[in-house]
Amino acid sequence: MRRRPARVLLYAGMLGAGLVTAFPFFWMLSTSLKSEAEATSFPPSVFPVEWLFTNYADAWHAAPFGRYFLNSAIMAVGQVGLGLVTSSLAAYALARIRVPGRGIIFAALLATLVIPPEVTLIPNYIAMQRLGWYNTYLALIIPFGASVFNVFLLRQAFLQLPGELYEAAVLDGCGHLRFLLRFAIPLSRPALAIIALLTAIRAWNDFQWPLIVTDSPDLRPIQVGLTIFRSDVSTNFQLLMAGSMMAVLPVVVLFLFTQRQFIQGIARSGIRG
Amino acid sequence: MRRAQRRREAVQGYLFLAPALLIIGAFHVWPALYVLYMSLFRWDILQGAFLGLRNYQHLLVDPDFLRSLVLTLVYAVGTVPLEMAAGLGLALILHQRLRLRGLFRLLYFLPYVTSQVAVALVWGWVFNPSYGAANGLLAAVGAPIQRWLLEPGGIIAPDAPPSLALTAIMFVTAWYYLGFHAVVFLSGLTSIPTELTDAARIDGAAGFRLFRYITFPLLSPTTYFLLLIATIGATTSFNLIYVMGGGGQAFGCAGNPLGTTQVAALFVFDRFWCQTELGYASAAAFTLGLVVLALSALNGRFFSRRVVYAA
Amino acid sequence: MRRLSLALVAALVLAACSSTAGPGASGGTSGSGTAAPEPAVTITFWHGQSGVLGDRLNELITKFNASHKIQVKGQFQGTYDQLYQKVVSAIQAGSVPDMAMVSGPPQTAQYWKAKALTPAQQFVDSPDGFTSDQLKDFVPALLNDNSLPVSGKSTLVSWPFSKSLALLYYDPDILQQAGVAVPKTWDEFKQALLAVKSKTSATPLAWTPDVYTFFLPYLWSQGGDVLSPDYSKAAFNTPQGLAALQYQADLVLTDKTGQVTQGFEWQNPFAQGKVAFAISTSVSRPYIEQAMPKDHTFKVGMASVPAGPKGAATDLFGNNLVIFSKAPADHQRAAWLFMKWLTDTDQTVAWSLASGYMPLRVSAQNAADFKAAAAKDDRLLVAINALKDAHGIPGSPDWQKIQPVLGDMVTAALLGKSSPKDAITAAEKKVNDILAGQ
Repeated sequence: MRRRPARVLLYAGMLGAGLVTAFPFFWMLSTSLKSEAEATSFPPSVFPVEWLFTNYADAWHAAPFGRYFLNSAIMAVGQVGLGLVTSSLAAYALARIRVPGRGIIFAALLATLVIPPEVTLIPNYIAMQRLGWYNTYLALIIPFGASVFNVFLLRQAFLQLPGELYEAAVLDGCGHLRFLLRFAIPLSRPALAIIALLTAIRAWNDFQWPLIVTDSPDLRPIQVGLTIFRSDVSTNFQLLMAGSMMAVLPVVVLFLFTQRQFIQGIARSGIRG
Repeated sequence: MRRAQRRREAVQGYLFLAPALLIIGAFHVWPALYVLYMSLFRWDILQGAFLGLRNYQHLLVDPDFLRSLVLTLVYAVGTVPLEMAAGLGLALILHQRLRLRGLFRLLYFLPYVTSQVAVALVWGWVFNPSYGAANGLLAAVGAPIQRWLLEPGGIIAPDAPPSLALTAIMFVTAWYYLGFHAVVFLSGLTSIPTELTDAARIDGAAGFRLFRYITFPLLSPTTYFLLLIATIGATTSFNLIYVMGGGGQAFGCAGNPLGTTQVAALFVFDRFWCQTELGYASAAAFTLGLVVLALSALNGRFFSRRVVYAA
Repeated sequence: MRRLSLALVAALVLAACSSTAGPGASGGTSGSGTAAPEPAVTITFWHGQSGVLGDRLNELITKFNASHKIQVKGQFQGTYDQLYQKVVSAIQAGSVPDMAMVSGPPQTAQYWKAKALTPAQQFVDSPDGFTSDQLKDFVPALLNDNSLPVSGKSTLVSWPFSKSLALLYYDPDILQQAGVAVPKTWDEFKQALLAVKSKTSATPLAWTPDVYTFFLPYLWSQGGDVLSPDYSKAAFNTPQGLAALQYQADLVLTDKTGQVTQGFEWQNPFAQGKVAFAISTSVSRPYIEQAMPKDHTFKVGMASVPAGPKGAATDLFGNNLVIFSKAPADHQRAAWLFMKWLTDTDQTVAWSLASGYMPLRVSAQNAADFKAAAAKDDRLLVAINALKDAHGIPGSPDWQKIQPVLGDMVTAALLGKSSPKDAITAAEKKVNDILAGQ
């Protein structure tokens, strides 16, 4: 009973914070249902006066969005799949295997994070042309198939695995690869879920790179598709927001799905026994 | 025997590293080396005369570049601790057994998935000098209204950074990355063995003491990792500042008003893509990279000793 | 010999037939000499038009492809800035398209400096080009906009396509309320703003400060210029330049009739009848009309930018087309034939009516379709009438560096961070350093 006011305060505070963080998202939702004139009215209305669900149909038919969704999905799945494999292996090697020069490799990896991507566009573009990957799915997937961020995050997770576990596994004749697959990966599910989520979001929201390495609408992803609602002098806000809402929906679903992985505690005792 | 086994293990280690290193080498290391190469030339659209280190010499006396480094530091110091502290706070709350926990998680994560156009528009509206909510709030409490994103004047002293424009952008940045930090902290909290916290509870630790002596130290790998990533992220930050810092000019490039939001990454972008000085911009990018690397190394030396692993 | 000439004749007949058979192929062959047959090649065209304009452009391309052996593949490559990034990257990689859209003379000058372009002049002078009489059908200001000084001679480097210019927009209801006429000169404009301020609750003027809105038109209308004719020195630190800067600073700081905004933010309040005046590109109109609330619509007023003692002046915006020198010769020629077709009278009328950009040719302004449209809406003629006063953005490859310096100069003066005199002196020094290659 004593704690009740504190709880109320906590919930009120959390709700307040939630309103601040979610407001632009709700604005996006609300604008996606407004008429053109209302979408641009100043100051904006919070809720639409007239709820135009037809904006969604209009946005969907404005461009081949089915194709764009498919391309985004191919990009995201490809990057997540490849990324999970490469970063699990590399992170495990850096965390658990005595590799000579591990420190140097680690530092070198870190160094690749610090060059702003705005200037590496040209060499990467040239590389795509030389490799013959220009205007192919390879250009959209492979360069993002390994990320230093993911390797670091996963390395931290692997470092936290109990040492006795590995010793016990080795006694049972378990090699590195089997240990990685049987124990390290299942035990690091929260970190893997985060990697999958963040990689997928990054892939899903990428705009500049896909635009620059493709020519054909057959290969272009959803974010490039959304530019149809913008021009150099103006923006069709309600359709852009309707399109953005459709684009963001898979990401929200993915978040709801993966977040359960961060919270579910891992049944450690079961593995120890 | 032992040596052979070690060698076998090393080979296996390299094999494990190979796929990641190959991709990172081809698409991160090689471009970085290419940038280094470009930085040694006069390079407009095409490669020009070899300049040696002259681009770098120029940079060291270029007041715009030096200002951009200062602004980068200000931006990082103003955003990273704030977003991390707030993210940790949220993660701690969300880690508890609460009603609607999943809903709150989603609410806090939404900025990270909201379209950047919507983000820029909504905050642009909040900070609009004539009709914006921020000025509405100021007017309500009787404070003088502000020009926000258009204001090059400093918040501490008129000519000292950060300008009000940059401060507003820093606030939006912290807002934007809050959910990201909360989620990564949450995963860190989840991987702390419950046996340890349970044992501490039995010993009578609770509340702040539990956090101070058990949770926080055990969370330190995540904290360290996030600090490293967030510092690098903030010092090379581009998108939000670029989108928000139109600063009044319809045809300007990056870093308005009057360059007071032109952090180093924007300086690089401006010289590279707006002024088409590819060689000079590459030198700036490389210098920025070295500065960030040095900062990270310092960061690492200072914090890595304080990292505790549960295992 | 006989067989060769027979083949030639056959080819010429074929060319003549195919060029008259196509529905939109007016103009035909001209210039000096005789044109070779049309090459049957597929060319790529990188452009920056999406949305409705993208659809209209694709319709034109489809129409061209249906009536020609040349097949054009139009590829959208993002906004002008993104298109520029892609072209610059492609030049590095040696993988340029056959032709592309450029946002204006400064970018053209960059590509030209990198030796990436074949000048349009080469095709204009060829048998596929125009006689000097035919060329006179194009608005001179537009041809100047596409010309760069090449070894002392003005040479057509790019070719005009979608052109617009800066105009004065006004809300007639507010003007009536304030009892003022549409201002013709800068002095009248200043007085009109004061009248709106004192007699109505509207914001007299909203604009996003840059060098184009006030500084350049005002400067030109006083007889001044921004750079020396050969683009080697700053020319704006003059009494005219100072007056141009002082004028807008006074609007904000002294008269308090000017409201500074960001980007295209002024459009919405203007559309809602809260702003009396704005200066913007002639293609802004449909966007303003779309943003009008249903319960408050008005006829958007459009007029020439106010004039100074040396007459009116305004700046040209929009995009031009270029041909890349790395493309194979027959592709380059095909690209030119497409560009030429695109700016034929019929197409320029169609594109102008669809997009709001200006017709590029005198014959287009006199075409029946255009006249009929102009009879319905006299505002179509406002931009055309202002064309004689239009100045291109300086075609200096350094303009991209100069533009932000001038933008900062305007911003500093408007926000009262420095006096117009200090701001202009500092900007002059920076611009001269840039032009001296510092």
